[in-house]
Amino acid sequence: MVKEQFDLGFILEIFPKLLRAFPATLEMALLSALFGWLFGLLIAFGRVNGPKLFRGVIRVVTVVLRGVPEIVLLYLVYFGLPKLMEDLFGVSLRSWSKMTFIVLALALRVAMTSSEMFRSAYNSMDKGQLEAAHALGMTRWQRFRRIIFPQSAFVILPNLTSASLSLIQATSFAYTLSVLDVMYRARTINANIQSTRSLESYIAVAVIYWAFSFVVIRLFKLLERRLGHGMRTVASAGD
Amino acid sequence: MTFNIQFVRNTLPGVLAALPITLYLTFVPVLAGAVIGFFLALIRIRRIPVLSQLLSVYLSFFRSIPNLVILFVAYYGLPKLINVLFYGGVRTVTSKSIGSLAPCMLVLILHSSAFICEIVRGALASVDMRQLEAAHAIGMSKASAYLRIIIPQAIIVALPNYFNFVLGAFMGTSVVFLIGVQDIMSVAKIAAEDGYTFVEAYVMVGAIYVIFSTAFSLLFGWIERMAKRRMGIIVS
Repeated sequence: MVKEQFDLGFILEIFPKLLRAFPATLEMALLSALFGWLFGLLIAFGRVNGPKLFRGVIRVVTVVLRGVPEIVLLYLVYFGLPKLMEDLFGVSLRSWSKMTFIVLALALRVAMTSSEMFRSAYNSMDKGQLEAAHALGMTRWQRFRRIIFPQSAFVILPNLTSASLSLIQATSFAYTLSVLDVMYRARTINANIQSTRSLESYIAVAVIYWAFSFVVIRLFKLLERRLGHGMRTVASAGD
Repeated sequence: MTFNIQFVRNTLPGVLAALPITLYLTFVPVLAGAVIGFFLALIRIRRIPVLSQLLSVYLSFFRSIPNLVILFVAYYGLPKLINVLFYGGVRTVTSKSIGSLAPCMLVLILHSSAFICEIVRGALASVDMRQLEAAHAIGMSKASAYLRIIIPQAIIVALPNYFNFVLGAFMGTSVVFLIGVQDIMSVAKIAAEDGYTFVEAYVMVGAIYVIFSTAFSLLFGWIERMAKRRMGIIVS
């Protein structure tokens, strides 16, 4: 009967062990976000200014890459990319770590969704400001840095928050590729104790993810306050 | 490039046979969530003392914790909960005896209710409440005002968000195979393990998802346009 009771002590016990695997989860999320946003920015720029063919191709690719669930995309990249590279180019991807694959897959997804956001934010900007900047003699880079970026960044913050939360949630199935993250650690611990304390371990994992998301939401709210001086909003990030 | 098309031809029927489960796991939560979420939104708007706070916590859980983790917690926790509630702690029901579909459906319904509650709240907040005063001024009853003026406008605002959520829910069902539900991912994966034809399997599943999500998007877009057209006659 003692074995059946809910073991709160176990949750506290397992925390340090799980947290030791947290850096892997964090690394996945951060790298995917950074590469994804960078790539997304480039794609958005290409969609606005690029040649028609590029725009068409990107639209098709976006539909496909957004129409597949993240986990399917991950498996397609993990199983398909090495095969593709070997069959077409004779390049072996055996040296790539599992982390590389998951970051690639998640970054692709982030790039697709963020390019949509950047594009709509840019399109909703007052074109008069761009003309004024040109009239003042600003270079394109200056115009981007001082006018386009601050306003667009503020506008997309709520969407960026939810996209980031989705990204964090997507890291939860990396364990299926044996990435040594929090979930993987929890499953190893479960396997070692014959799954007697599965509920408690997954509750611990849930708490870790909850804390992680909480910090991220707070960071975005802070960013919103810093970037939003003088702007009034109807709804804010995290509401 | 070597692509085992024969594998696709062999496994496609089996995969498609599991498609109803995926659709079932998408639409039941989404529809149940619409009803439950609407009432939850009312609770939050009226700021009912204890329930509102509890609701905030509940919502933050489902927003901040990955669905997969919640599914695992439910898979192991639901039998224990049932044992405690109905059998006084005696180990009558186990994870295996309940299976994976029930906890899955439960979690998905709770998840949908949480998100739809937020969607409804946002939609109702976006409608100009001065219309209520105007309705009162011309002698409309409160119920009538809500039903004929506020709610139609709120629906128009909520529809895009709701449909986006439905698409997200459809994509979200892709992880349930990890707790044992026999959906399209599960069937494809098991079939692929035999000959290591994982690429073919996931291209097949991916194609199914893309086709259906595109079809849903078009359908939802059409519904949104129809709704706008109809509401335009009533509202303007």
